[in-house]
Amino acid sequence: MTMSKRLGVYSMGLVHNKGELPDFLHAFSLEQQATKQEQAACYPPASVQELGKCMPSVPLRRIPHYARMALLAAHRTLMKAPKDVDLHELSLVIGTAYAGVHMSMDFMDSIVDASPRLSSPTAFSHAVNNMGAGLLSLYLGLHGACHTVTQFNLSFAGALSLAATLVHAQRARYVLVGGVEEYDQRFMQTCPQTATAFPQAEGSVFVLVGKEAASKPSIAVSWQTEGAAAPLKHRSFYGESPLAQGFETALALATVPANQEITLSCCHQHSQRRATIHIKK
Amino acid sequence: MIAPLPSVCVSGMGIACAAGLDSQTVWHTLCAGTQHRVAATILHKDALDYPFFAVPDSVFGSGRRFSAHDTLQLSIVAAEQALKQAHILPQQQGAMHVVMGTTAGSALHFLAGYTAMREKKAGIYPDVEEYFTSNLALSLAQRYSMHGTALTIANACTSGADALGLAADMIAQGECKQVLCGGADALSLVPHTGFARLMIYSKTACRPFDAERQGLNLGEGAGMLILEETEHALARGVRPLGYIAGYGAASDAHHFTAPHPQARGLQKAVALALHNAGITAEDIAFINAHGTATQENDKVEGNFFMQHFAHKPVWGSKSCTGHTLGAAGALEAIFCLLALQKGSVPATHGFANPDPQIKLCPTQKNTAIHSSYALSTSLGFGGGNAALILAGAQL
Repeated sequence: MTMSKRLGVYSMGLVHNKGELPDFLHAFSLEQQATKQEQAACYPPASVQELGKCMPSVPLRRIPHYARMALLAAHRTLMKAPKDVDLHELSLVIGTAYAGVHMSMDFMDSIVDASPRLSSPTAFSHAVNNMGAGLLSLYLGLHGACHTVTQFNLSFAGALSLAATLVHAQRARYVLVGGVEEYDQRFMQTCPQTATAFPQAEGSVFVLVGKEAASKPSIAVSWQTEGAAAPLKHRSFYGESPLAQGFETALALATVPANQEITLSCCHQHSQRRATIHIKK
Repeated sequence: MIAPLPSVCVSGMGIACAAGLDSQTVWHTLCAGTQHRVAATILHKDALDYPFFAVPDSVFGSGRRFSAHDTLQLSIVAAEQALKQAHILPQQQGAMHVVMGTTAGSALHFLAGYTAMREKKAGIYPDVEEYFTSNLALSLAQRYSMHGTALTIANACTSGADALGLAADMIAQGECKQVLCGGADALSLVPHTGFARLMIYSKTACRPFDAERQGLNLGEGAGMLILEETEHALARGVRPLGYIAGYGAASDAHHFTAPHPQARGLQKAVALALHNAGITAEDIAFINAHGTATQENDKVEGNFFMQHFAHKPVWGSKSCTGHTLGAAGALEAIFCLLALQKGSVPATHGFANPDPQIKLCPTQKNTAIHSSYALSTSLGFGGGNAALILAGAQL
């Protein structure tokens, strides 16, 4: 087993079909008490309307939905960050399985419908895997290193691992690290193997991490290639997504009582690699 | 500020690109300036008429599949060379980490499967299946039974350099002793079309830093390295091939696709790398530039070099390999190590006349070098910048 060094968690932000963090947690507490109801195949799109109010200078019309979710979750995280966070020195790590799915499918549509000669350059440029990181760097004014980790349902854990390396190598005092995934009907039809019994969800989870601090929860990631993972407990609430481990982490950070430890495991079936996020409150 | 990087050596290297499938052939191609560009119709009959630097089809075994599997196959070909050169036996691979950089290799480019779905053709779509089974770091870790951390980095054109830098950091922090790392990208219709439609692609051979440059040429390939804690390598009786002496990364935060006009992010990345290596600009023997031959990249990079490294040889190698996207930073790190071994830097083929807006004249003939350090720079979509300092084995 390999374990990353521990990080302190200083703040958190979230975007999900069920609302931002307070609404998300309220819905979670209600749902714990409710009887089971029939679920739709997917949740309605995650709302990013607030972005226009909290970042009025950002030209939203140029930003695809995928990046808006990440930008809003990152903004919410930074609003609760310690005062000594310097955006010019802040590093960013995004974990994403599929990046800008909608724009990727749009680009392929434009090749099929209009031929390569008339395909959409805008869709292509927004489909490049790291465009979320690029746009966040641009609109949040982040001058530190920006990285994108892409490895399916292990992307969020991979991003945390990378953040731990950056902090402990003293490349960054703080790292804004998170995940973002977008729902697209065309992708689901092409890749039915990604569907499960749970509704398809989309959203973004970000945490601001740095060196461990006594008053802050801590987080670490371990990697194994043997043993099975206990299923993540609350997928019936937040839905199916490669970001499931990120949503589970957000719930744990918000709801697990102080002085408790919790582990959240996720397995990538094909490679048999398992990532476990260890949270200590 | 980041601490100086302890000794991280390179104990094995592997290459597969249009310039060759082994170090000796690649070096010969880089010196001779031979260009192996092919018509894009080998990717698809409807591909736009922009030739690219292709690896021989034989590398793909039973042929190109135009899926993520092609990128994985390139990385395996190069990884086998690196592991063999480093004398790492299968039973010794368990504790290794894997850090890989890629662009096309992790993107949703399964056009055949998507087209079949649109036409409501039932069945399994092979390119879709292979997308899910070909994640570079996860697949390589599984193939070689490496149980350490496995990360696939998708930072566009800085992916390869960032993979090496992060792997070096892992060793420096004591997370592990050895890392299989590098970058790989194979081409298919989707990325080829995308770059052609961005209007930065030249139909003729690319001309880094030249006044008449018309844009980049795409290429494909894989560069793989074994990075190792130096003491660990020496204890195994393995002689280092060179060192990763420094790494720096920073963002422009300026524009979606164009670099910062004053190279703000590049300047920061290079400064971090120099500090990381404990050296100054004076100690640099030569620079391998990103040098894509686009108007904007070469202007920004060229002006930066003129300002901060005015008398240092600048070498643009993409005229012999094309821009290999996620593989570029890793391949070019290997090229730097080869140049340091040989004590000379090849000419920048394709360059003839300096751009009056830059005034940079890159190398125009084989040039002797007189120091043990090389700087390799990479700039990427999204405003990322990466700088690696490579040191020769004689250090």
